[in-house]
Amino acid sequence: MKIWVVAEKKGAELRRISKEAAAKAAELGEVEVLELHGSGEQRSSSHAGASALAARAAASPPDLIVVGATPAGRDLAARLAAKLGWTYLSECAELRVEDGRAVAVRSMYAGKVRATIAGALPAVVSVRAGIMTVVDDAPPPRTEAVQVAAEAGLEFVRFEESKASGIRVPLGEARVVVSAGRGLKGPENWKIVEDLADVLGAAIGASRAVTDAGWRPNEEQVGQTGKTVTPDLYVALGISGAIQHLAGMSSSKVIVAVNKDPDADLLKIADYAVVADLFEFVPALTEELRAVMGKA
Amino acid sequence: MKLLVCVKQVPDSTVRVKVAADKRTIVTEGITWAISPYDEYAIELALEHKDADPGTTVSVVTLGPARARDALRQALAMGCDDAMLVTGAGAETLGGLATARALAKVIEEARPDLVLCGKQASDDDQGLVGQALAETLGWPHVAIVTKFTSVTGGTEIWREVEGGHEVWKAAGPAVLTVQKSEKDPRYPSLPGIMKAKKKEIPEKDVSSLIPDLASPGLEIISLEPPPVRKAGRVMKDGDVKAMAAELAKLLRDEAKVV
Amino acid sequence: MTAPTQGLLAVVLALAAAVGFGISGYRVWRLYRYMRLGRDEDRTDQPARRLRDELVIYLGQSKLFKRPYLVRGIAHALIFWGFLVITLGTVDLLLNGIFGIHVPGTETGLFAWTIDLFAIAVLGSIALAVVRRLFFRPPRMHVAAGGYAILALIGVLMLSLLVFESAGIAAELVKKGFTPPPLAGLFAPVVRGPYAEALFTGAWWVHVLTVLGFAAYLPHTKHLHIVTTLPNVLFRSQRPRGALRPIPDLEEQESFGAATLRDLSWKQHLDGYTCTECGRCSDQCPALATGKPLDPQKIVLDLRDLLLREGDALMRDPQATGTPPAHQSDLKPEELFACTTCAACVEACPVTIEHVDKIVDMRRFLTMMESAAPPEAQRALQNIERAGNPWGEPREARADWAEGLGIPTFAERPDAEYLYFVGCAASYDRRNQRVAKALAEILTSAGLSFAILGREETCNGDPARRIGNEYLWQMQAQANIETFDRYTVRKVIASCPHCFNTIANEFPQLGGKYEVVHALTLVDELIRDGRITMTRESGGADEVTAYHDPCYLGRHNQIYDAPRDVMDAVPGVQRVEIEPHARERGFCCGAGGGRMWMEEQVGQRVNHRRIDQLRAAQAGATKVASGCPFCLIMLEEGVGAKGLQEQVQPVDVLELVADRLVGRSEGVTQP
Repeated sequence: MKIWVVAEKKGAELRRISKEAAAKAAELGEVEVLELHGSGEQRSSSHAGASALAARAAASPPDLIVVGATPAGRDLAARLAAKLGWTYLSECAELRVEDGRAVAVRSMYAGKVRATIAGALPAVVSVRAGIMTVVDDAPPPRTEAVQVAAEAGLEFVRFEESKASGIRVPLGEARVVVSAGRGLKGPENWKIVEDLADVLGAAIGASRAVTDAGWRPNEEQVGQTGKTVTPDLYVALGISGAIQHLAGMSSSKVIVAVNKDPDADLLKIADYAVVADLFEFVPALTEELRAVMGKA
Repeated sequence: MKLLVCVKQVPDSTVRVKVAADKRTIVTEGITWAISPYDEYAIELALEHKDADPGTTVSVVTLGPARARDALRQALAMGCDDAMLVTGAGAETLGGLATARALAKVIEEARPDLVLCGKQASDDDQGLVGQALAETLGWPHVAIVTKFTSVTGGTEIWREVEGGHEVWKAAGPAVLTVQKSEKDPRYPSLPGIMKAKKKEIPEKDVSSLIPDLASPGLEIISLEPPPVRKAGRVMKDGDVKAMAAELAKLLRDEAKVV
Repeated sequence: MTAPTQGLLAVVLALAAAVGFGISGYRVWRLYRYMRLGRDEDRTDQPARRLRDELVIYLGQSKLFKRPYLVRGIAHALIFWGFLVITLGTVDLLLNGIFGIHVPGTETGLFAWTIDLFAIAVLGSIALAVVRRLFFRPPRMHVAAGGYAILALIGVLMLSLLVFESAGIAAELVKKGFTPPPLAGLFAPVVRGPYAEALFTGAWWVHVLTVLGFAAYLPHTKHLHIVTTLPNVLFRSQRPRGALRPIPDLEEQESFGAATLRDLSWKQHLDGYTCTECGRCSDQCPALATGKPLDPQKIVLDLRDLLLREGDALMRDPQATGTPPAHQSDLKPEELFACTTCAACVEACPVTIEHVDKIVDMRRFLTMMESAAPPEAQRALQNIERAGNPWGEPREARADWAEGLGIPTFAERPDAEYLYFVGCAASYDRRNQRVAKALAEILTSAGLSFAILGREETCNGDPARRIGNEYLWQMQAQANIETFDRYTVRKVIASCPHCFNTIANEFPQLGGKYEVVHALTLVDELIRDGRITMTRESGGADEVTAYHDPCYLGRHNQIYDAPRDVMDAVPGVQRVEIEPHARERGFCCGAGGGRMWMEEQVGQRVNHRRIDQLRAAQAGATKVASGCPFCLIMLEEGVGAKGLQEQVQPVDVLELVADRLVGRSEGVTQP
């Protein structure tokens, strides 16, 4: 089986999700890891990227093209699948090949249903973070560059930086997420959240209530109308756990919930539930983790 | 400007979706249906454009079973100008590519300046139709859109990425898949609801739009509810420092996540 | 006594009267026509009750004596009664002066004494009023120069009356045969002398001309209330207070709510004329008290002023719509949505103005025509529409609270005597689920035959109606009525006062008539009938428990005693009040009027103020009990936010009973 992995970079390094995708693909067959290169400083559109890949596939078609399911990855994969007319499986949590079909396990209905779906090869698939565990310091796969030419009809104008941008891990592919809600009482109290996230190397998330209230930017919203996250560790601080929020994080591997209210719904589904005043507990936890993780 | 929004009717987000006995479909009896949330944002973006420029017309189209008419009435009540239902045998189970091809025919006839749709439907969560529409029409597309405005020579479109927004300019028609609108999707006014009830919604049969309805799409092998999380360890009534220390140790040694 | 209007003077008087009453009459006519711009409304139902209200509230001035205004109320009542009597005398003076005839009875000693005594009382009250306005003015009293002008005019009237009475006696113009009344009799000797007759004539003319001037001036000021209170009380709403006005044939309407002044009814305009600008409504308003931009008095007066400003234009052009009442320059949507519909304003108003109805009519316009309800409220409405409850919890989960308790649904037990309508809060809110269970235990222990609707129950639409979405309310109410009727439900118990209010008072507007009782009224009965036995928990002192009146139980439905009687019957509970804000003066928890689903952006949170009041009452309460799920949620939030969980525990009265039931067991299996 010939498999392409289209990798994404963050700075000079391959994104973690791309390394995981490559590792998964290696399990299934012969892998070529590709990187899209635009012309000059301009960004390439997913449209243009798909065209470039389709052209390469016309020359020597693979059986499977795998992309990490970042928002950009999914965008590219969708256009590519449509262009090639191939089977499309998005956001796979598990993936295998059987009898000439790609078989994937993914969630549907905003996380309420787990589906096993199959489609005939050749296929384009996007895979979720954590599809395969890779060791952090394993040597990165070799990549081949694919040149992308700009597509007519669409030009890149500029990049607008968002006010809340920082050096944090983006929410969508974070392995650890620290999320906070109304229990924090006000936007001025977020330092304890940031400190904990720093220690854990985590992305910061928020409940809808606090993004609606303007305490945190919309990009941080986890839930039905925000982002669905599947980290290894999800720490929920002062979030009661309405169904719409749960939909966004219930497939996290390990859930820790801290809440003053012993009846909060999130405590009931958490792997580790702490009933305490978060203003006291969270700084203490940050300190303890600092020690335990050897980052003192 | 002429805008066209493609929407999908899905189970409402408040419905407790249950897997049916056949383990390949969900229980649909008695559930409330609604416009897929990202599609609502798409409608809102279109209507905001219309608020700013009253010469804009907003059409809304859906492909689905007869009950999808209700979703169109909801869109009309919000302020869309006209609606069309593409339906017929097989409409409900059509795959993404086929759906896009059928809708593309409608779009070609309608000749809008821009097509908008939600970035993914909240039933299959696939996120294919928007891009597939663009591909079928031979148009550029921009995904993860949060804003757009008309400028001289085209449309400026904001695409949400890490750390900010990319601004793209489309010289001609394009497909936008929408992530969010700045304002919440508007609640229809009662006069809007009343007018929408009386509006005519023409129908097109899906088989007249695409030849091969029976093309193999994806097969659902099985559906399951997500694994039930067992109640975990609860810590309370303790000294805060002691609990913090215990949790840190558990996360490292038991859960192995730090 | 004979009037000093001989010959030509009678004609002069007639002319003066014509001018005075002419000016007055013209103004009244214009005001009447403005009022008739309003929508028709039938206020002729229940004539016997209307007459009774007229006697008690108008003539009897009953609403003026409410605490803490008792003394001031007495002062006003004296002024009013004095005014009535003296008007009779005035009529007599005019008739006598112009035509030489007397009104029968006005020449008797009884009449003279009555006039005299009232004149004294009125003068005393005027003095009190002037002193108060000058030195002790309450912050929300609207006092302009006009206020002093009227007090001065009345003062002049009384003084001139007393002077000419005295002078008349002194000049022996009085018909002999009765003892002179006290003050006049006292002063008569003082003014005896050559000038007595001149004084008499002078004072007489001053008095009569002042009366005519008063008559001309009256309809140009708020003092018109002297006249309009009579019809305003007569035509007050005899609907149950908690019932909002229905909009019939909703589907046929093109416009909803108060889009124009024409959409407000004539009675609502009459309210504007009748406002005395006393500020008692604003004094009682919980929103205003906590810093929200809602001022009930201002809303009434703003609408009145809008009508006076735009009345002419609307009359000239029947097609003109004018400024929408909700958008007149002073009024903003936030003001209107800050109202909790607690009806403290309506309760306090001495002239029976209906503030809440106006606010809801304007909300109906904002919500249904402009989709301008606050976004959180709109989300709650959307949730009611899609999921049958304002929180958007799954429909399918509605009966989860009852799982394993053995409570039958109507489907399982169609012959059950009572329907327990659980309501959205008790169905989905974890804290209130415990109250529903408590009630179920109590009913079972009392041997009552009841069932619930389970998943067939859906929101009755109360929040939708209060927020102004009449359409959604009708849909929800009708859905429930259909279900009730399918099971031939006759009796309904509600543990939530909002459910109780809408099912009892508003469902009949759509044809759903049932015997509805609030759980505490029923439990009170059951205790009296000996069907509930409670025991004291072993040992320990009585738990001091304050009672908080839910607005929709108390002010809206006059249920003040039953919950208190229930508390008194529970052994081991000592009831205290949150004085002075109890019973009719109860202070809202802040959740009514759909505000449960809206954010409070300004000022102190209403429920926090309520907790402050509880502590200020210093009654030593360790618990605060109410009979409403929203009050419970709000009190819990307030206690939590203030860190008082160890000192005060909010509970429902039903929980107090259930905790002490004899033979309490885990299950709720029915006989």
